[in-house]
Amino acid sequence: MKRSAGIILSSFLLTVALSACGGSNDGNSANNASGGSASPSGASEPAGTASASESASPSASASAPADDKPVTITFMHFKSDVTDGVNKIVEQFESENPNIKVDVQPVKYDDYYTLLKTKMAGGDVVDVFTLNAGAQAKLFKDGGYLEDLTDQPFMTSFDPGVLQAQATDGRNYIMPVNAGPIAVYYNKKIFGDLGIEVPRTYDALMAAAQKIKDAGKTPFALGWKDIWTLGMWSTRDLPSNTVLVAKQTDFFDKLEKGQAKFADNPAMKTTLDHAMQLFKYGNKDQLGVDYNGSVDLFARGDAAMLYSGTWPLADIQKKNPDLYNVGMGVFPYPFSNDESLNKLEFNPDASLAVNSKSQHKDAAMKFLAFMASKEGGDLWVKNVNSLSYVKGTSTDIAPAMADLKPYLDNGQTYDSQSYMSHTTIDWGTPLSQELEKMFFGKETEDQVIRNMDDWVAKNHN
Amino acid sequence: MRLTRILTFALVALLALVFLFPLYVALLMSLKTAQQTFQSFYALPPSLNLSNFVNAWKTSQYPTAILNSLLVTAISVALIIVASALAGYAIARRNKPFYNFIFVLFLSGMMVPFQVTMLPLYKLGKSLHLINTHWGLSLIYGGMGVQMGVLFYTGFVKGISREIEEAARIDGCSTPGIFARIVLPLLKPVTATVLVLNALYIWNDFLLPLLYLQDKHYRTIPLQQYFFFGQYSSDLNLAFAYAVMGMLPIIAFFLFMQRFIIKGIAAGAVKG
Amino acid sequence: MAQWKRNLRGEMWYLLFLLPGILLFVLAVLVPLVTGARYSFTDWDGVSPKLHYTGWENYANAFRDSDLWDTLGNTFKFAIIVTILVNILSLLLALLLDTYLKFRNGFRTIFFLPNVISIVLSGFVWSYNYSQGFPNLLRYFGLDITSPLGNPDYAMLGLILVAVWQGVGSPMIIYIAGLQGVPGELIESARIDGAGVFRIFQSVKLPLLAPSITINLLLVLTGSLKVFDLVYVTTNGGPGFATEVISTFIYKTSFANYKAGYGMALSMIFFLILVIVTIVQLAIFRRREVEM
Repeated sequence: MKRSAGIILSSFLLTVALSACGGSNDGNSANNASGGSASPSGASEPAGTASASESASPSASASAPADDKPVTITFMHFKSDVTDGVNKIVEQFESENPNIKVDVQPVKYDDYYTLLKTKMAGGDVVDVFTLNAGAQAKLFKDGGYLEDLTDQPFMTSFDPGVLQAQATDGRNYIMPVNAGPIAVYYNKKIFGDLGIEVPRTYDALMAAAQKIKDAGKTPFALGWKDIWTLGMWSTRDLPSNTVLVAKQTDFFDKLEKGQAKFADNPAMKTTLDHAMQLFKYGNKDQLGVDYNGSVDLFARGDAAMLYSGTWPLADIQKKNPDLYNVGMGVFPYPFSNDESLNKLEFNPDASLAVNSKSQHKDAAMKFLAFMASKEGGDLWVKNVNSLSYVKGTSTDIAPAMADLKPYLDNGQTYDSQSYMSHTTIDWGTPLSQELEKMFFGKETEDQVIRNMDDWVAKNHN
Repeated sequence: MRLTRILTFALVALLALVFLFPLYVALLMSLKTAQQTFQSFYALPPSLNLSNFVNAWKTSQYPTAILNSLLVTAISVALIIVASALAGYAIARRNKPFYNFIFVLFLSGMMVPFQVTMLPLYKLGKSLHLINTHWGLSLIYGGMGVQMGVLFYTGFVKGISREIEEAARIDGCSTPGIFARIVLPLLKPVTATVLVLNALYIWNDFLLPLLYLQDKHYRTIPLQQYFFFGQYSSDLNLAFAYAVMGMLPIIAFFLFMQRFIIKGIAAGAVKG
Repeated sequence: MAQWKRNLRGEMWYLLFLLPGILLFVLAVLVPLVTGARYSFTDWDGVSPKLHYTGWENYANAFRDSDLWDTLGNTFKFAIIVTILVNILSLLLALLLDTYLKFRNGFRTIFFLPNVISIVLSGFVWSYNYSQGFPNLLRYFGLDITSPLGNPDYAMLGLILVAVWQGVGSPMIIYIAGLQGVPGELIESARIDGAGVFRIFQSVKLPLLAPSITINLLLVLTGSLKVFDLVYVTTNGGPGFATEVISTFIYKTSFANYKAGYGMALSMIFFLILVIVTIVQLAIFRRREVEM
């Protein structure tokens, strides 16, 4: 490295020096030489004008290329934890569609939207990408980046209720793929030893936690150092209690329009109380342990319960096969004391969108159709180790999941995220920040609520 | 006196151990399996097990990534050295308002937060077709590194006596001739410093390659590493093995360059 | 006239020498900065192709934004403590490793090593050690500790430790180099005059180290004011708002809250602050150097 730098430097200077030291001085040779290292100089000018024509930028509009020509579509997704699994599905698609190549770009969820937005705003066309319903989908739809999928034939593979919940302003711009139950995993041995029944109400859950704590064990494994794990819980507990318990069905719509405040929502206090209790019954160092650490605590049998999606299953299987095979069960998180309300939280995640500016829309649609087929759905379940929304796909991903089968079979599921599908207000992160202050006694519940309203007023007026 | 010496040595040694501890943990992790780590965090692995390294090597296109990192780092550092040596020399020798203004401009350029330029840089790169090319990324690094480079070179050249240059000028040498024959050989030490500081930075940088090198054939080491640390990724041991592999070349480079840097700064780079 | 021509020709070379550097600078810094500055006068959300010019509104809002002042407070707290600690520690190490210690090359390498590792990786290793490694280790000694990063009162301290660990290497080497420029005769004659170790340091070495101190303070201070990666990968500003620094705040405002225009305005304010800090610092130290 040092040498190559040296070579470039010396060869450049040699050119200059050879002609320069003869007394006469013609300047041309050096001019050429220095021009070499600075070639893109003139090119920097159009940049300034390019940004000025912001509003006129989407010039490259969609046009259908000839069908039989091989095309490459780009597919960006945030399921980077299962990169290999997604690649296997894509390989199968490619082998069935030899004319279509898929350039897969997995990006960590934390950076995904930053990168996607940078690309879109920079005029880069990503043909197919993952998107979640709600704020993000609305933003991209308003930006004019999403193709309307409502009338595509492959959308019939999905339950109309799911499609309705995923709609943005009444139309479907995203196709549901991943279906994730979010529930509470529990250690059967700890529960059995202490004679604890699977709790069906919130109070029963807390009573169980108290019993476990009294026995010297940790009730909940919390990995709240990773802010999304806290957000995952709070952005479900609050909408569930808001809509189902406090019956404020249009609270989030009103929040969006500036017609409602967190202070008016009685569920807000419920969620803050719940958060405080979970914190109390959590492992020590609740905000210092990250997601992986919390899975370790549960896998080791130190903690009795873990609130999560299906992600940690593979990890638990590797670390403690006995626990994975027979030692753990799972139950829906009881957010309320009304047993009939406490259904299984079942969320779409990593839904697919097609870029309205894509040059290869036909190929992109073929890819979506494949993902919506029974084959695609089964491949998803098998390779991603999660569930699929495609009707009739298997649900057999882990022994513990058998506990959820009755809920799935009887349709006792709900999607708290759909209550927020009309809002672009992403209150999850600020709420997590406020909660963290509250845990350490830096703020009272009332202050948290006030700060949240201030935050909304400041950021969305 | 003897006692103080022993005590200082003990103190420094202890501090060194503290400094090494996190790295020791990284190495330890890379040599154990997930299950071994899970059972006991600090225990040494029962036997030397390089399977994490083998797996990391197999799944990660390590050779390609190393090559990409080397290319990007080499081109960028070469650009930085050429551009800032020339500019630094000019600024140091022409102590006039215009040159001082340019110097201050470079200096304040160092203060620009990356958040401001990130998006415009991407748009710029897109319109100039700099995305997914090694040299496109290198041009950007060149522009970022040239600022600190100028700071170092200007300071260094100011510390060199002008007498020889004056004499050469009287002998009929032109400015480029003087620069190439007289000044350039004297710049070796500061060049070593600029080389190492920039190489370290560019080798480890992550955000810019994330934006500029999206094609997987162009990924650099930190970028590849990043794809190992997926959000729910559980295979920490494998990730650490890859991290250790990514550190090795740059550590070797530093060890090789070490004596040059200290000499370089000693020879006057700090007399800025 | 001929004189003037010759002057121009002489000047031309120097101007040509500046050219490559300026062109690179314009490409990578100036053009993007100007483009970015334009966004700071708009209500752009970061995605939409539509944007409206809103004049100075973003700037006016920024001055009323209490979060901005909180993050600036955190940023300066972090930067000042890191700058002081890094400089004291690296100067101390440089003094010890300058001459008489055994294995000094080995030690130099060890203290420099953290500098070689990417921040993403070191943040990762440290978070892990804070939450698992150190508690597990200290349990052998009967101590029960939790990660400082998980407690708003200690999180900043936890970050500062990592920053010092990683930041000592370069300044140490610059100090070592500076010390090697101190003439041996000077120290010898001071010793003959009966000066002790501290006296020699204070009256002989310290004044001669002034340029090194200036450059180290400048580099460490501006570097830590701009800290981003470390915070982003370890605490991401939390718990609460305890470690939110200006860079992470701008990042979140621009990308998580869909307020790219406002985020750009915040960055421009931050840029101005950095320039002022640098100028003030340089002015103070340049004057002191002359005096000494």
